[in-house]
Amino acid sequence: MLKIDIKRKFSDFFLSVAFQMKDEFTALLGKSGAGKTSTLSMIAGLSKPDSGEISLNGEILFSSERKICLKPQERDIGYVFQEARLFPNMNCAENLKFASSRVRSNQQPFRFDDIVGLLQIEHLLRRMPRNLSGGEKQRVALGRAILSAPKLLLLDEPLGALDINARLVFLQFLQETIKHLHLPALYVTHDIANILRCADDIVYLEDGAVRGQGEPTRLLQHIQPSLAPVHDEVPNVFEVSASRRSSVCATGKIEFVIPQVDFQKNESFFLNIPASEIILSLTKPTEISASNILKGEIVNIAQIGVRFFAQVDAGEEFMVEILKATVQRLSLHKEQEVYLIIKATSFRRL
Amino acid sequence: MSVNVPVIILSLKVAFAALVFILPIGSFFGWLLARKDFPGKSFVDALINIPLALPPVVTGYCLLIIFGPGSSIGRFFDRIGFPIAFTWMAAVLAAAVVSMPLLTRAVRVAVESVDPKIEDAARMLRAGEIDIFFKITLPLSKHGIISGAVLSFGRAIGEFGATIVFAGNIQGETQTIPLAIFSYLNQVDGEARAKVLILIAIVIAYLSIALNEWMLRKVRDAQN
Repeated sequence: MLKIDIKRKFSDFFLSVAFQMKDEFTALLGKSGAGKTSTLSMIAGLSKPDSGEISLNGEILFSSERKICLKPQERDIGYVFQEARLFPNMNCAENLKFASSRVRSNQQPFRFDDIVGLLQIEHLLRRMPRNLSGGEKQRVALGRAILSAPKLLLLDEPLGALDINARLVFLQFLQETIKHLHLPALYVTHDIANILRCADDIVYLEDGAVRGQGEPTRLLQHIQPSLAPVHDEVPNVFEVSASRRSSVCATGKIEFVIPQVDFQKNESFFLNIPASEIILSLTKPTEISASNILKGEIVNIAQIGVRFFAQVDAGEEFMVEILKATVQRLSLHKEQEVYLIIKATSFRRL
Repeated sequence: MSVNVPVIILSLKVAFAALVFILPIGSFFGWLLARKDFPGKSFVDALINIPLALPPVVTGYCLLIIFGPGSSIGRFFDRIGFPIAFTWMAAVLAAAVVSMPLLTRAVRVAVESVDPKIEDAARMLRAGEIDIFFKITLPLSKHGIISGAVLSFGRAIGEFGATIVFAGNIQGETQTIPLAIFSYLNQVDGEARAKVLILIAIVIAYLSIALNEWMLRKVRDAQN
């Protein structure tokens, strides 16, 4: 269990963070500048709090009172950074071995080959980091952090530099790996959509202080209003402007029909359509009550946890939640032409 | 036209010995100035770089004051049978002091070009500071360091002022290429022999600069 109660004064910001984290997948959520990365950096030992205490499984990592400050090397913590930070002078195998070779064999719970297999990076081992895609780099960085035999894994927005396809693939690997290895992880993000699917617990940080902690859905209902500026990270959120025609609003690329009572003329606002409320059809429906029928193409089909999502490009990108059986029944695949059916009343104004 | 081979060999020997001497020290200070903040950092920086701005004759005179037979350090080395002033070791020391700022500056720039975040990543993988320097920082900055070493070597070969004051102009002992050229040009019939050494000095200087440029290009390529 990680226990943290620290304070640090920056030139324009005061950080005062206190929370406990059980041995599970915990998300440290908050807007940019909330103090998430600073908190992670102090847990890792890369920067020092002014006062307070940090302990991991009972071992004191930092205590201002007892004048203890373990070096990053002594903390048994793995860190996956936003930009992967693979060593550019080493190939992927050497990057991984850099981590595994610094752990005594009797203290190494993970086998090199097992981690390589789990993350499916066998084919990357001989390649140099500069020849990898963003997602591949992050998988190698995750493997490297795991092979350092940490008792806690810190992940600092590891999806931040990835495109939407790579995000889904990496998140899937991350979730499976952490679950398979029973490795506690603290995941820093401002991406609500992804965290809802995989975190066991959320710590919500705002203006340098913890504003809430709890089970994802319950906590998010509580904090949702203050997360408005990060809506671009939630799937199916579109900034739209009201059209001159009644009930129509447009993103600039596509138009939606929504109940007219929801907006006024010339108004700009955000619309959200939950992924579970979009219907996917292989043929264009003709006699149907739904007002929004959008033609698109499947970009990707991803499993996240136990749920399946089709990512569809219909002028804008949509995430459509589907059943595994549906994927098989309709033989859904990439680059397939589909129609999205959305009821006008399914849209939610944010 | 005769080539004074012993002078060339002595010059190369002195410059090479000076390089071997300053490589660990200059690299350490280059790394220290690039990566660490400590009280008196500006003073250390200025002290290392002062020979760049100082007339070499003054540097030589300072070395003579510190290591000459009149100083306690000089007397100590005399007593243990290793006198420094007016020996080839003095030529090495003079070349080292004058050329070290070039190496230190090159190492500093090269180390600063390595993203410290990469070193933090290594720290999180249990690597110690020495381990990080040799496995990460040094390989990533090696082209810059080699470039600085080549330039320092070229500067050491050309060293004149500090050497003539601190090591003298002793034929076969401390007379390097620039000192031999100076001696020949002061002789009535020495110009022809001086011209050969001048030509060799130009070739060595050109090769040093060309190698330095080539290494810097590799640094730029690695960064892009």
